Amino acid sequence: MYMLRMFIIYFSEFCMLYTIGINLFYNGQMLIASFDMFSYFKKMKASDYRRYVESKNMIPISIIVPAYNEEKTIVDNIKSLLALNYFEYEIIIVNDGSIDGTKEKIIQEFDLKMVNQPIMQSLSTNEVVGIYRNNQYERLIFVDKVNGGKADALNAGINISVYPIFACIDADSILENDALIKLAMLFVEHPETIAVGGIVRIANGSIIKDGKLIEMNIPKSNMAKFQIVEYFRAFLTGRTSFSKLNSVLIISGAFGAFNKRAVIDCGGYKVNTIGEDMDIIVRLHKTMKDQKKKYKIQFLADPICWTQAPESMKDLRGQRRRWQIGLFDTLISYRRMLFNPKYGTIGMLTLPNYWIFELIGPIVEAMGYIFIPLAYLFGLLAFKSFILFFVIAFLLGTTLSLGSILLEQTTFRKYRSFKETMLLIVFGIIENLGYRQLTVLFRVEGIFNFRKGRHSWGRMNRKQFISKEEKL
Amino acid sequence: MTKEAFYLLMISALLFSFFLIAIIGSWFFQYFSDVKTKKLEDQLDKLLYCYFHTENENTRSMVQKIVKIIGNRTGRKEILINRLIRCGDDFIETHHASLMNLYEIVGIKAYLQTALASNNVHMKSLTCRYIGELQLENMEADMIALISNQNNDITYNVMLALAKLGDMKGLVHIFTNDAEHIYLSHRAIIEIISAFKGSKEELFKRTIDLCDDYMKGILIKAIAEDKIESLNPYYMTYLNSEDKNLRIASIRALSELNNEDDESYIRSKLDDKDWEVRAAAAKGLEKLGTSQSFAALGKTTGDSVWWVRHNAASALILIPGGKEFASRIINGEDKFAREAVISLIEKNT
Repeated sequence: MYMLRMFIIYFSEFCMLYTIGINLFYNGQMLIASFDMFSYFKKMKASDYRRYVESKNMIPISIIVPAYNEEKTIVDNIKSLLALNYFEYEIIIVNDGSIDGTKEKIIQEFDLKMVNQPIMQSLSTNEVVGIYRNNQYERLIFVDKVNGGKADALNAGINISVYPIFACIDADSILENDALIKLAMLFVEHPETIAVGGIVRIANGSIIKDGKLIEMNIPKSNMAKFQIVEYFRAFLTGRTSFSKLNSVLIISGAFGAFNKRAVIDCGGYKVNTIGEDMDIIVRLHKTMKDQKKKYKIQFLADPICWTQAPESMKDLRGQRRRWQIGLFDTLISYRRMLFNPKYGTIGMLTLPNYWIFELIGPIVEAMGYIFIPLAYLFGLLAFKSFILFFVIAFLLGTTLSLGSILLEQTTFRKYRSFKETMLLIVFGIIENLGYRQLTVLFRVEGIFNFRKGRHSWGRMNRKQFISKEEKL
Repeated sequence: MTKEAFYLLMISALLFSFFLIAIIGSWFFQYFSDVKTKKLEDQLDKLLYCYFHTENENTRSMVQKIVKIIGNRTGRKEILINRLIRCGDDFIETHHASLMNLYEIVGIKAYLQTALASNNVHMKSLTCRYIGELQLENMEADMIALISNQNNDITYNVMLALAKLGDMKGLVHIFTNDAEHIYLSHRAIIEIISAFKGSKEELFKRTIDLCDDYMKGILIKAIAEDKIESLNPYYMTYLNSEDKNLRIASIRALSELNNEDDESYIRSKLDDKDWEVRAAAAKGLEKLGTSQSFAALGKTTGDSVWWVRHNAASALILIPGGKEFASRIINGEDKFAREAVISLIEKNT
């Protein structure tokens, strides 16, 4: 009993320090991100990037879209890609052995015919069953292959691609027209750039017609509303600040662009993992640092990719478990980089942050939810202190959400009406009263299911995007 | 309640309140600022329209009205600059004289001169961009002086502005004397050259012999699309350069000229030691190749490098009469060549 008592006392104190530490870290990130984003906006004001839209001199890009059972959104996605503002690009849709109507829908919609096309096998993949094209849609290439996972599908896309830069985009995502040009500009401005990630925003509730987002709305689903604020925090503050330190560790699988040579040289995407998007970035960092090459991996909060957020508890649970398993898998795989000065800020700051706050954080938080009330119940913590701790934790947590909303409000201002802004504030506040705890539980579950779930394709029930007619 | 916990509570409550008030405050600020800007833009658009479409005696009163609205406020000057830029290059070129007059009277020129001397890097870049887009003359020397800053954004905007102003002397000076300060990618430099509003041929001739191999390659790539026949001797000279990129650039430029006399020179590059040059040569023959290149291209479809095979097969199929020759390859023993040719025949039918 004494041991338990001591554990609860020390753990409660640890929880308080941990809460302060994590919030200090995140607030620091927010500060760096604010400076970086204001500087970016000033730079973009002077930038002449639009002249590159029609320019023949822009780097040609291959867009790779891995698809597995995406019949509901894939056609919209392809249409959005065909409508991009970019001079020279190709779209490679890789069907990874879908068991729904993905293949048939694409072939029928774009009237594709099977062609004989030799493949440059830079990376080994499962067998490609067929390549389909239609001269009417010169940019479009449809690849049908035997199921091998998302990473395998991406590797197959890389083999088929002909351009030096490739962008990978999820099949349930829609790109803004200028998104590609903004990403590609970084490869032009800084030739040492090997990867760039763009921001992912939530499309639920918005109106999309012929692959173009024509009206942005706050989603009706409360679950999706919470995620809008969550995405602000993750992308606007988290990744922007790491980008400033050239230590971005994740470029979302939903939207990123890569130097093909660099990816091939480090062996391509790792198959049999669901954290392939993080794995490739950490491996690129490692390879470049090992070879002592000058490089940049950046994140840009401006080029926007719209995606569907899970609206049901089941989908959210699956997604968060998957993310946590992917994170765990990557951190374990590259554990030798941790606290290794050879890897600079990656080894000394970013990886420790991911270990302490992102991987172990949910466990500490979940234990805090159990042991701090227990400490109060056992009379080890005074009522005042118990309440005080929760008020401080709540206020600090909410501050981060409000800070991210403010950052959005003063930079991109995608949600313009007063009602939308107020809704974001409300959801930013109440997020800490239930939703956050729920996601913590899902993440903890992910850690415990690590061995079982690390080799699967992530699945989520997709909905068709809302078109203007449906809305009317 | 311990003192530390109280401080923490106060800090978090303060931060919470600050962000909450800042979000609401910034929303209202943006809202009213948008309304005000929109009103000002409409006013300026009307006045500018009248200024450019009325008789002489009225223009003076229009200018006075514009001066009155703009006053000495930098924000308003920026709005006016952006309204003018929105009118487009053609408009600015057509009304150049009256615009120069307007810039002087309203104080845009003085404002941009001050901004150019600012310590802020973004401000300098933006000012150069404005100068270029407004085609504001007599500020070239001030801009060239900024090159020594060694900031990529400034360098790019200075060079682009000089190109838009057609300042040959300035650009030649930078390409030949300040090349060590230029860290721009070749694509950015090509964009600058393609935006040049003077004689590109003259710019090329005055620069090519004075700059290094890297810049020479970029110059050739940039000018290639203009298909200037008189530059053929320069391309021929660099076709045999030691520098791989220079050879590739020359092949591309020669193929753009589409002169059958150059076919044999490009064909000879199918045997180059660097695969990138061989691939470029095959691609070049796609444009100006004739039946004389069939045999060489046929041989190249069996090259050890995928891209060379691909380009050679593509050239063979696209040159008139080449498909018949290609069908012999399909029946041949070379697996790689067969694959390359079959796929391209399918793609092009």
